[in-house]
Amino acid sequence: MTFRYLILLIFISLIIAKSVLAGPTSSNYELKNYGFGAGGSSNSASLNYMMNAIVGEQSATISSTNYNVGGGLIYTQQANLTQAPTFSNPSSTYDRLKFIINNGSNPTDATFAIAITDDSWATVQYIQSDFTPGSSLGTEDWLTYTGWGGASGKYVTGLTQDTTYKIHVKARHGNFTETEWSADATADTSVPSLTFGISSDTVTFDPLTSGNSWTDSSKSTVLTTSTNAYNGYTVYGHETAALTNVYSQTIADYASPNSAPTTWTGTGFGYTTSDSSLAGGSADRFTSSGPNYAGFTTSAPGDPVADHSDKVDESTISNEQFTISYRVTASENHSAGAYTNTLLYVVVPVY
Amino acid sequence: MKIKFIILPFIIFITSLITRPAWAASELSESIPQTLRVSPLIIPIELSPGKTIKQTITLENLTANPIPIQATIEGFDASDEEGGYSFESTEAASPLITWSQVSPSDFIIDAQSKRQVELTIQTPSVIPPGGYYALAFFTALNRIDKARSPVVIPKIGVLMLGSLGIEEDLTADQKAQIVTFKSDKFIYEKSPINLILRTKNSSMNWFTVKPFLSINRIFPKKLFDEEIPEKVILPGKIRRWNHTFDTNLSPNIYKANMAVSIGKGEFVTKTIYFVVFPAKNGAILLISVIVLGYLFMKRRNISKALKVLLKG
Repeated sequence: MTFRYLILLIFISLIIAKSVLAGPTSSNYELKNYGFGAGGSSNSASLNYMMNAIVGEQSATISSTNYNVGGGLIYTQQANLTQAPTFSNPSSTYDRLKFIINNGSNPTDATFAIAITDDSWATVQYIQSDFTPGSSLGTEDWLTYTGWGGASGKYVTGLTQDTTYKIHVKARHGNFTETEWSADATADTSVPSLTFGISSDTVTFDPLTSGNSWTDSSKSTVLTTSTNAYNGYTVYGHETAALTNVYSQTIADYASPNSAPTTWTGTGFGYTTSDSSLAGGSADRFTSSGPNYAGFTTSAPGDPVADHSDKVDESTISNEQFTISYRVTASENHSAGAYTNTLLYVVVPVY
Repeated sequence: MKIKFIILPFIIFITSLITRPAWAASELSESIPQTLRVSPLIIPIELSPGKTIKQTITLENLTANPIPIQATIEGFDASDEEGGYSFESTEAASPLITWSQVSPSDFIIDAQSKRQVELTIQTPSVIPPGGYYALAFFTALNRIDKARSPVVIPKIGVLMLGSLGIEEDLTADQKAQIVTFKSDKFIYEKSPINLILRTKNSSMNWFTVKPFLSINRIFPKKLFDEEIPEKVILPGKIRRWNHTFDTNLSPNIYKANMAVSIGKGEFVTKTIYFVVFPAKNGAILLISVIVLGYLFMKRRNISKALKVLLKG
C-alpha cells in the first residue's frame, strides 16, 4: 500500500515539475528557450542580439514597418542581414558613385549582391561583377566583402549624369541562406563640367630693337583648368597665321614641331610649355634640358600644349595651371611695325 | 570774331585728344583674363529617327568683363589610339553636325553671369543605326578690332556622343576584341612589368571599356587583381593602354589574365605568360649546379686521382 502511494506521488511530481519547468505554450507550440545574454540595450534596436519570438504591433501581426519575424528553422540559418551600405559621390563625378557595403558580421566567405535603381525600384538592376549595372543577377555577381572592395569600397560606373540612385544589399552563406534586402542608401551623380581660363587675351611683346637683340622671351599665357571629366582634358594650341604686319610681311614660325621641340636657335616665333607630362610624343619633351621651343601650327585644333590624362575619380581637377611661354626673335632686316596674329587654345575632354 | 572761329574748333580738337574713348585706350594697353565654365561637358545622346532632342548647355562668365561668345558645331574622329581628336567637319565624316545647332549662336555673357543656350538635334526620319559624334564649341570672340598685339582666344568643346540602335543580339566577342595583349619582354629579371593592351570596338556604337588585370603565379596561384582606367572606344576604332606595375615578383612563371568589360557584366578575355628570373644570379647558380653535378658524377675518379696525388 505504501509502495503504491509512493509510485503515485512520484508520478504526480513528474507531472507538476514538467508543468513548472515548461516554457510558454499554446495548443501547438512551446517556447523552449527564451533566455538572453548579458549586454545590449534595452530597446529593440540592438545590433548584437535577437529574440526568436513574436514582435510587432498591437494588431498581432508578425511584421511592422521596421521589423519582421521569419518563421521556421531555415530563417535562423540565414546569413546576417547587413545594414544599409554607404553610398556617396565624393568627387562630384557624373557617371559613377562610390559604395561601401557592410559585412554585417558575416563570415569571410559570405557573398553579397547589390541592387540599384534610378526610379525608386520601379525598375531594378543589379551591380555586375564588372561594377556596372545589369538587368540580371547571376552567380558571378555574388561577391565576397573583399570582392566588393571591403572597407575601401568600389565605384559603380556607367551611370547617367544628374540622376538620383538607390542601392541595397543582401547576403548569403551557402544554400537557402539568402537574406532579405537591406535598407536603401541614396546618392546623386553630378553634371560633367569644365572651367577654362586664360591669364590675358593679348600678348604684348616689347619693341624688338638692337638693344634686346630683337628678342623678347618674357611673355606668357597661363592656362587654368578645372573639371570632373573622368579621363581629364587636353588643350590644343594653334594660330590663325604667322605674325603679320599691315603690309602682309611676316615673322616666320619657329621651325621645330610640337613633337620634337628644340633649344632655340635663329629667328622666328615659337612657344614652350611647362607641362612635363604631355601627350603627342615624349612626355617631357618641352621641359627636359629645356626650355625647348616649337612653332605654332595653323591647322585646327592644333597641337597638344597642356593636358591632364590621369583618371579623375577620388578628387576633381581644380585650378590646374600650365604656362605657355612665347619667344619672338626677329632679324635686323625685318620691316618695322606691329606684327599680330590670333592664338587659339582649344580645350576638350579626353574620351 | 575771326579769332573765335579759330580758337573754338582748336579747343574742341584738343579736348577730343585728351578724352579719347576708354575702349580705344584699352585696345592699346589693357589685356584682360577670360574664364568660362561650361556644363554639361559630355552629352550622351540616344538618337531616334525623326525625333527632336533638346539639351540645355549652361555657360558661366567668371570674370569681371562681358565676354562675346560664338557657338559652332564641328565634327571629329579619333586621330590615334590615345584618344586624340581629328577635326573633320564634313557631313560624310560626322553627319551629326548637320542635324545639330546651338541657339543662340552669337551672344554676350555679362560679367559674373550665366547664360543658357539650347542644343537642338533634329534627326532625319531615316538614318542607319550606329554611333554619331560631334563637338559643340564655344569660342570667346576677339574683343579688339584693331589689335596691335597677338590676340589669345579660349575655345571650349562640349563632347556629343550619340548612338542609334542597341545591338542586343551581339555577343561580347562580336562587339569588342582584344587586338593586342602582351608584355614588353618574356623574361624579366625584376619589376617593373610593362603590359600593352589594345582593344577594338567592332560594333556600330561607342561604349566604355574597363580592363581588369589578374596576375597569378603558376605555383602557388593567386597574386593580385587590378583595375585599369576605363576609356571610350568609338565604333571601328582601337584604344591603347600602356600599363606598368611595380610589385616585386619572386622568380616564377606568371600568368596575366586581362578581362576587358564592355558593360553589363560582359567581358572579353586574353591570357599571356611571362617569367621572372634573375638572369645574372640565376646564371651563376646554374653554372654552380652543373659543376657540382659533374664533380659528383666523377667523384670516384676524382677520389682516386687525389689519392695518387697525395700518396704518390
